Amino acid sequence: MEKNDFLRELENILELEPNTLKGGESLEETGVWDSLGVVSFMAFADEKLGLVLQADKISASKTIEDLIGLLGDRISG
Amino acid sequence: MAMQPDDRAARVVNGTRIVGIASALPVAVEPVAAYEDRFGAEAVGKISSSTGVRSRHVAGTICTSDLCAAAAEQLLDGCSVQADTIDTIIFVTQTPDYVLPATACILQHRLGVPVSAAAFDVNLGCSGYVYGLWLAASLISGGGARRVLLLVGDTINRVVSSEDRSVALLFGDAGTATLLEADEQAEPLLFVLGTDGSGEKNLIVPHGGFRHRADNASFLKIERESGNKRSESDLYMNGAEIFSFTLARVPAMVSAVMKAAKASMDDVDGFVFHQANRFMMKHLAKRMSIPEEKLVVGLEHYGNTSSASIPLALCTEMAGRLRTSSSRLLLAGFGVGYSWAGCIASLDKLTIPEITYVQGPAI
Repeated sequence: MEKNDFLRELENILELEPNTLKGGESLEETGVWDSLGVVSFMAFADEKLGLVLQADKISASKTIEDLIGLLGDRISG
Repeated sequence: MAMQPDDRAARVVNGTRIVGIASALPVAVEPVAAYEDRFGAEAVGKISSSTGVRSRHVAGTICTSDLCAAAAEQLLDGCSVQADTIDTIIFVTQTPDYVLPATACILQHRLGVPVSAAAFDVNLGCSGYVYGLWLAASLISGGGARRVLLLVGDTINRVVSSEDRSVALLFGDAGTATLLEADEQAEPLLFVLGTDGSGEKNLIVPHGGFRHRADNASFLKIERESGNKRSESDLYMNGAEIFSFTLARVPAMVSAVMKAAKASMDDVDGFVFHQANRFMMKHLAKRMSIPEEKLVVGLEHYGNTSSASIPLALCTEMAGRLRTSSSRLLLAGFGVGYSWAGCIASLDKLTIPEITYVQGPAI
């Protein structure tokens, strides 16, 4: 998945307006990152990328780049 | 009818029939909207639309055994079975009457089951109903029992902190009774079970057992993650870890059961998962390509009722069908432990009495 597509997916997961994420943000800045966000992100990785992520690693993430890091080579660009 | 499992993990039990299922709920209903003052309307709305829970029946001072006893009486009556023909009581719960004695013993006396009965408790939650079926059926199949009363339920609200958002809006209380008996003509029941105790701390009531006896400090509510407040005698749930465990284990369990039964999606009439929350069930169904109409979801008015959620959903969502026809169902429980259990069962014209409502003791 291209990084831009991932950002659109993340907006969808977090119920943000489309095309608002640039990729450099901290998760706190989005104002909507909470435990439901963690679970929705996990569901996305499982369904769209076939990855079962560890909850503690997602919870420890501070930025969108950290989340992308968890998805490894499934995200390009 | 003997059956060769296709998978070494599967356990096949022959010669046992499920006769009927009954459920009992506390009369008191608590809508999740009651928490808007405490957590804010927006947060409550967001949680509720994800979990799918709008209200729950809450036990107050009612015990799980009170609910299960009411369900059992209703069931025996509905099946026209006398209590003195029951030879075994299995009580599955995480909320017994006492640390000791076993609540199953109290229920033997209360229900008028003969003193020749075997009666024991099993401490399991979300996986507990399917585990109970496996235990009861295995006892019957092996000749160790003829007619088993399987009582399964929980009153988790009694260990939930009303100031902990991660659990306060989710759980409901319920008790159920299922009657199983020997029947050589019965279709085989097929089980896949699993356990991973490395998850012990992610769904736990830390104090009150013998690792940490309850003392005064056990009841002090302390502020934790995200402003949630609870004591060490309250339930702690790490929802994200539980979700991760579910993704890792449940689809594999479901496909193992289906493979062992040589069943395709078309061969299964309904998938009844532990009613953990709607988001999780919908995700699992999507992930396993289960057609939406075959996924049984019944927690809007009951919440997550822990060990009772599968039999309760059978009673509230499927009673009409189960009473009149034959259905092949896949049941799957998973959670606290971690512990998981899946089963394919053919249910034929079950006795399912109307839901019984239990009034709490006058205060």
